[in-house]
Amino acid sequence: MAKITINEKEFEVEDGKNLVDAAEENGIEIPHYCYHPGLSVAGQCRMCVVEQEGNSKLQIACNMQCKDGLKVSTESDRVKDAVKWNLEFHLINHPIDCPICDQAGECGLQEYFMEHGKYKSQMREQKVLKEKVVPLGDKITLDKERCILCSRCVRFTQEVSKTADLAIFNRGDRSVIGTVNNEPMKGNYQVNTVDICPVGALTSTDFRFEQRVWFLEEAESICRGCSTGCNVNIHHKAGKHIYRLKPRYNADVNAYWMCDEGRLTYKSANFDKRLNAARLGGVKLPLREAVQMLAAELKTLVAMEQQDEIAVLLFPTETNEDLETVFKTLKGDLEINAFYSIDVQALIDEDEVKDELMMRNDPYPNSRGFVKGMKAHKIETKNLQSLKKDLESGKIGHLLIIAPEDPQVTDLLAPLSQATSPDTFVSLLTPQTAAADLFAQALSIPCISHYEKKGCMINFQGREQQLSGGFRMIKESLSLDECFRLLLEEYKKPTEIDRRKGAQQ
Amino acid sequence: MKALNNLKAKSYIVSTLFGLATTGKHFVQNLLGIGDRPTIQYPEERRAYSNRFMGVHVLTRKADGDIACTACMLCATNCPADCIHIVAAESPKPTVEKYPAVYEIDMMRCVFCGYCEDACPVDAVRMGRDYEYAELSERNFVVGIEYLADRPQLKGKNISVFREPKKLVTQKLRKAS
Repeated sequence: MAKITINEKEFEVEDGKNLVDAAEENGIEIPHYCYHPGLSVAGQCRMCVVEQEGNSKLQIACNMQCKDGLKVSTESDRVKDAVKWNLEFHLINHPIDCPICDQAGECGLQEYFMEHGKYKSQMREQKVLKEKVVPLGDKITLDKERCILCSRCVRFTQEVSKTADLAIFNRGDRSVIGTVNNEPMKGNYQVNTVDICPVGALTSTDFRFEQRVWFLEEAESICRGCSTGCNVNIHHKAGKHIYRLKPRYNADVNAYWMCDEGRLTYKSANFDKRLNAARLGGVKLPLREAVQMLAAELKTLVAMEQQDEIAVLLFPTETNEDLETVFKTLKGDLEINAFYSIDVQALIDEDEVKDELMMRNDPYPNSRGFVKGMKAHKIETKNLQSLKKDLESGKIGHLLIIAPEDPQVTDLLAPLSQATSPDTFVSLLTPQTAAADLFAQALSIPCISHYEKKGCMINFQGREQQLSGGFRMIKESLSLDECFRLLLEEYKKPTEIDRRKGAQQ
Repeated sequence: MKALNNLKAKSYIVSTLFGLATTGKHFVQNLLGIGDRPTIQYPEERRAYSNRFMGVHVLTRKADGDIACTACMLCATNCPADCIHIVAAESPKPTVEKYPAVYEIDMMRCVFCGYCEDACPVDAVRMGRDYEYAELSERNFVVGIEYLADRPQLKGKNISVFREPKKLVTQKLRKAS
């Protein structure tokens, strides 16, 4: 530990820690553009200047390491003046087209201008005009005018994603950021450059013009794209529509980054893909009635001692808590033994990093939790091939499918829907319309999507991570937990026949 | 004393006659059109409204006929009644980056406070002068660009006074490339 003094206040920080980080930890903000804790130090922007005791010149904080006896000031008049003029220089060629810029609202220039800015510009020269709206591949749109040349994105492609796509071209005020001949960027980690861009130079094409950022609310969750379980912030508007996912810092899992494929997983959760009412054979019916119907169906089979005709198909995409309820209800209360799923153990055994940084082979977020839950309840699952065989041979009278909104699950369900004979009653618990459309005659009950779930999932490291979702995009949808509680409640209610029997006795 | 009380009790007759006289005076005046009348012959006659009167909104157009709005959504942000709905999109014109594909105002929700006009950085939305606004269905009160920019009452008086910088970079560079 090292004792440092910032603005005449003493702090104890880790030895060798970067001064910008150390100050932020202790609630002192040192403005910075080019410095990013996940990247190397460049010292390009000169915004983080501080006055160090014993040094006649102003020093940049991002290149300063904390050690015993370091004394700096971030509030002296010299520093304030330097930051003010620095910002003025950054704004010389910035177009200030905030009304049409997607970054507005979370822009470094806007934030620091309000705080440290020189409100009356003395710049009387023409701005240097550069290219605007340059698509760098499908995912990124570049605006060369807005760039302040902090080189964060350049360092990202060199140090983290190692694709080395971006570079700074030309000199002086004609310097621009870009790829060679505006070629598309490569790799699965491009959109991270948008996150780290402090201004609106690099913007995500997917989010382009979709929504102003000040309308968005945040919720913490875990990406459902693979078993890495990147920590994400969901940006949604009033809990009705998800607009984007952004990585949330977790040093042990994903650091500051996230892959592009994972970022698009929110799309299947939005209302155009969602089942918004319970259906039976394509006809809408009230949610409560649908659950009652499912309970009655299961009850009849159990009463006739045909439990072995009930089969359950589920995937390792549910939270541990949901799985616990499902297993407890189906195995404990209904004594169903036929569980089908994909071969999860094989997925875990073959799980390794698929691309250049951290995306993994296993496409399900909670395979470990699924296996753990199965072991706890002594359940063994059979694979999809045997389910198909059993369906074709007519062994299964009732198939209960718990299908998440994942498009790859829908692909797995397609062959099963063809194998299902009309004698098999299929009930679906799913958030998506595509799955419900596959089984046209089925009873479908709308569920919540991954990003609305609350609970825990276990990632590839065996780390239990929390999803705190908490908003509900479709009014008439149930979480698995709610659904099974309701189901059990209905299941335990005496039916008309029971009542008559009781009266006879 | 008794006589005085009697007179007091009958004084209403005098008041009534005075009242009748006033009514008769106004009746005759209005009939013959003498003096100031508070009522007007609407709709043939109309009152003069203040220049600051805030009526149904106007969406302005640029000199070249494009809609002036850049879909920055500051009006929607500033709107206390939450009645402005904008969907932004990439403009088909190469010189324009962003434009409103949908710009709707729910006139039933609008409180005509004029905050949208204050917020607009490009003089794209103004409070108009029309106040005669009736519809048969509530749904018709949600009006889009066609009504706000091109309704016949405006007689084409909706050119934005916001001046754009003369040099347009995209135009220049795109021509070169």
